[in-house]
Amino acid sequence: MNNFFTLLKYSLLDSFKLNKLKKKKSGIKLEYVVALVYLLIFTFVTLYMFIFVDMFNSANAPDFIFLFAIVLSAFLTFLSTITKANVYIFKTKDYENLMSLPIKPSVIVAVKIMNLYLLNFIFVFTILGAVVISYFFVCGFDIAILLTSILVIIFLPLFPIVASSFIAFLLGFIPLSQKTRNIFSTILYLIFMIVFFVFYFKMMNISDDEFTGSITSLYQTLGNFYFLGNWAFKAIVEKDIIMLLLFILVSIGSFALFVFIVGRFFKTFNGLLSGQRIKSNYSINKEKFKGSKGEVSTLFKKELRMYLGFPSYIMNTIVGPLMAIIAVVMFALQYDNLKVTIEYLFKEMDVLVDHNIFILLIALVNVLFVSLVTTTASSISLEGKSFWILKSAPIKTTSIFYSKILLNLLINIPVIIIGMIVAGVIVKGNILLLIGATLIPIIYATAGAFLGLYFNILKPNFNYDNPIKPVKQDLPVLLSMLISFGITLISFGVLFGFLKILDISLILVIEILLSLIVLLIATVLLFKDGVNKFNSLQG
Amino acid sequence: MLKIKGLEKTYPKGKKAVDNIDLEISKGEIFGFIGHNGAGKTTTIKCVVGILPFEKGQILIDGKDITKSPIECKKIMAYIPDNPDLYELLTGIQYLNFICDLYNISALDRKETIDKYAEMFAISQNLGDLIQSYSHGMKQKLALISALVRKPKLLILDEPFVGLDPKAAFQVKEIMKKMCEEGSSIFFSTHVLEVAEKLCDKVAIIKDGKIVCNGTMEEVKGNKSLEDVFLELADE
Repeated sequence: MNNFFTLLKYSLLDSFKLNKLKKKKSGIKLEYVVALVYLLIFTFVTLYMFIFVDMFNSANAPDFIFLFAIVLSAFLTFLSTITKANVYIFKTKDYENLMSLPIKPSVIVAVKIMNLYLLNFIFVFTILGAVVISYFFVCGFDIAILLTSILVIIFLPLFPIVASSFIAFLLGFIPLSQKTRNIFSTILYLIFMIVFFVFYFKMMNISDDEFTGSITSLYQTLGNFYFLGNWAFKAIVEKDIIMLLLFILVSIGSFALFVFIVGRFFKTFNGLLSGQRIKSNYSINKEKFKGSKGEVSTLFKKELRMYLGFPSYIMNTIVGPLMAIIAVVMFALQYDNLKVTIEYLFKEMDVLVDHNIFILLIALVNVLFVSLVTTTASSISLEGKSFWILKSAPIKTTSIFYSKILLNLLINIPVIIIGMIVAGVIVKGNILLLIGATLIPIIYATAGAFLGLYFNILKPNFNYDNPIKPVKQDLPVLLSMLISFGITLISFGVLFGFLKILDISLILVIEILLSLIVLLIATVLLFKDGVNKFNSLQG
Repeated sequence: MLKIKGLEKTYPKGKKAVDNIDLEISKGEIFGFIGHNGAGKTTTIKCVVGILPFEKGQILIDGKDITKSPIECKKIMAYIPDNPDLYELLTGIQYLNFICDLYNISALDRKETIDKYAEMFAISQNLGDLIQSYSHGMKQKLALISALVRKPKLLILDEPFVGLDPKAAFQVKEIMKKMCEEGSSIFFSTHVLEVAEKLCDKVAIIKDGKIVCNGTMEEVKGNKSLEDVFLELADE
């Protein structure tokens, strides 16, 4: 037991960089900055959950928010863990070091799971904590709900983490090449994401009457989808102690069983994983050597290879474009209903609009989604200890920048163009307006890529033990996301602010100008200050 | 080939890693750079290669200033760090092609050189595997091949013999001698003093950021062994 707590302490110190948090930067302790940023995020999520609670309350089913939030948290925990499990638990850089120490493999596994648990706990706490606060605001305070919610929040992440880690563990035994494994993981993840977002968008577009009518089947669907979530829901809402105890028992029991089984096969599994990567039958005579096509092209090819070889990088950065695609598909399928709703809303606001407004709305929705997660915000960090290769090579700093930015644009721009064309066809909008509106998300995607790269240059993290950390946990990624939210809010603000007094074409011009200003700022930051700062980076 | 004049490098927390270093390496010379752990060897090397900025001094590579013409300087240099972390998600051959593309090595040249050195270091059949599956020694060999394929005028190595098997270490020494016969220069740091003694034309000993001894091997060691000279200077 001593070993477990010792290993856990040092593991957390390292994983969460707790020593660095105590340092002061410009007189401010970093931990205060992190706390402030978290508070802002929590506030935003609470406001967002409030919309749902209010919606469910008007359908006389405010309790549904708990089931919804529990299933959502569990599903997202499952999804995010399945991409991380192998890297956090099985293929860690400290594996050999730990296995050479007098510590049981089951203790090592338990500590690794606890790392994953704490990461997901923050996430679950944010969602469910926000739900509890919003619920109390709408329906009044209830001490029993508060206490059971706290217990549910504590134990909720365990089962999804264990389930997804176990799937990853079993899949690891299948003798597949790394390439096939990567493709399989990516496809599986994309399927889950598509199912989730389709369900999410359907929920957002359901009317109050439809919701009230289908509430029973919604309860059943979600409850059957995740039985443990159903128990947690009943524990909170019906104050059912038996359900609560069952929920806690199954959560802890599954954790203990996982640690026992995986601990037993830990060495075998890691040995298997190492062996699978080696083919050793390469023949240079079969290689088709080609000449160089320029440094940007060479660097871009490297970036693309690294991206495609790292499923977690794909999965964490494809969310935005995927949501953009699903949003356009849902828009195409629900256009007639949406048209009625939006026209009604604008009528209530005393604003006369035509169908072309949809083109601008889709463009702004694209702005949010495609700049949500940029590959560039972690691309410098991901050079890691190999950073010396770029620094010692005879290449321009700007070529390095272009290659990283191109990757980001390759993921986003085709999605934007296709989405806008589909929207234009559905709406039968003005072609010039469509071209102009398409420029807005393209410009913002470019600016987002520039800013992400700039933030990563300011705050690179080369010393990670796990390549997922710079992609998911670092400040540049968070900053990029916050900026993109801010930009989207401002863009929507401009649209709704000027709708009563200006023609849609003029609003479009203002939006384009605004995007160009953001792009100009991003360009100056990256190509002036960013170049100098990059050149002084040491890796 | 390489001229370091008055080089000074201080890290952000005030530690002076390199203090007024002067070194000169001529064409065709093998120059050994030795010193205790933390003496400033790697810092000096990284400044030469253009990875680290420095506050004072000048570094000229074949007459060109590294701060004013970094790309021209890097084109004629090849650097291998002590622990060559490479792109783990690329295969060996992909990494070599990547380097060859950056240095504009023709398809024919790269095929010949890669084939030759991969056979020599016995990693030909591993070039199709991901670098993450390589042992430390294999990564070292791959990094060496990536340096040799460029035919650099100045080869800079930080502890090149660490992790190499005896056969590979011997081959590297032979390659270094041959390169120098062809006019290239080699600047390398090492803790293996016997190798430095046998291989190097010139040597410099660095202690706490300062050069304490610099000259030809005969001038530096005299009648003693290099190890004796080093230990005496370390105790001073």
